[in-house]
Amino acid sequence: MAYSVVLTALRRMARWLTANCFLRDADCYLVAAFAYLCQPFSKGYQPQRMNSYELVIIFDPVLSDDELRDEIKTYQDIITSGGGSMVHEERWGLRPLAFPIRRKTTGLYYLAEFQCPGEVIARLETQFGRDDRVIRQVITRMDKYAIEYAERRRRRLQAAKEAPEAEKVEAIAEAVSTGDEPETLKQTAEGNS
Amino acid sequence: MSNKDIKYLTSVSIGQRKKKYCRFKKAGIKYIDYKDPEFLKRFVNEQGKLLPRRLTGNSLKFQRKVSQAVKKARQLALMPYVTDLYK
Repeated sequence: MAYSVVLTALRRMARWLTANCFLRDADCYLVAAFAYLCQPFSKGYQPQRMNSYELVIIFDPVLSDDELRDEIKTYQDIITSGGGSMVHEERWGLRPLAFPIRRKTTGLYYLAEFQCPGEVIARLETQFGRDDRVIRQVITRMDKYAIEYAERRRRRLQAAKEAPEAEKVEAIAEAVSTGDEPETLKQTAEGNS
Repeated sequence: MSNKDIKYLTSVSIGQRKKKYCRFKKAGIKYIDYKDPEFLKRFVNEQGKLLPRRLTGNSLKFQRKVSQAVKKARQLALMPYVTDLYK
């Protein structure tokens, strides 16, 4: 905020200088360039900050594969057009809901991790409001521990995928359901209860 | 008379409660995943209500995180808001 005030003041000054012929045009450019270079040092300056977010969407269970892909595409487009980038995505497929929402007992879950500037979230939310194929959605900002955890989780899922065919389904199911949970905790929890 | 010679009718350990501890601190867990209902089930009673800190032994910091995670899981219909015989 303060930065833009400084910049407009400098621009006005440069214009005034050209108008009054105190300095040649080149010098005005010099002033402008100086102002540009000073950006990072001015008080209110912030380069565009990227946050990490995690998004879970529950889609209507009646959607076909193609429709689901289109739906997901619209949200990805919003993120990427706003200057963000996708980090990871996952489709959990059809899952039962713990309670009925809009008289539906199942839903298609979709998980995405992405980075984008904060303004994009508002745009996503308006889109969610318009879209009646989305039953429910949760967007969370990830702190450093969440990012760390998400990386570990991804690696484990990857490992489960590469594991031999026989263990594959079991391993993925386990990784998804138990989440991240060191063995020690399991033991202590059992000891406690 | 030394301590050894005293005969107790009941075990000494009765009446001495085990000290509660925060399992997250002990296991070094920093982040609680809301996408994992199986894990969060432990911090919830049969009706799906959050258990108090005095029962779980969680530190305030992690109890807060647990409650946030449970509430997010409920929003996503991964856990129920109210039921009977959950677990």
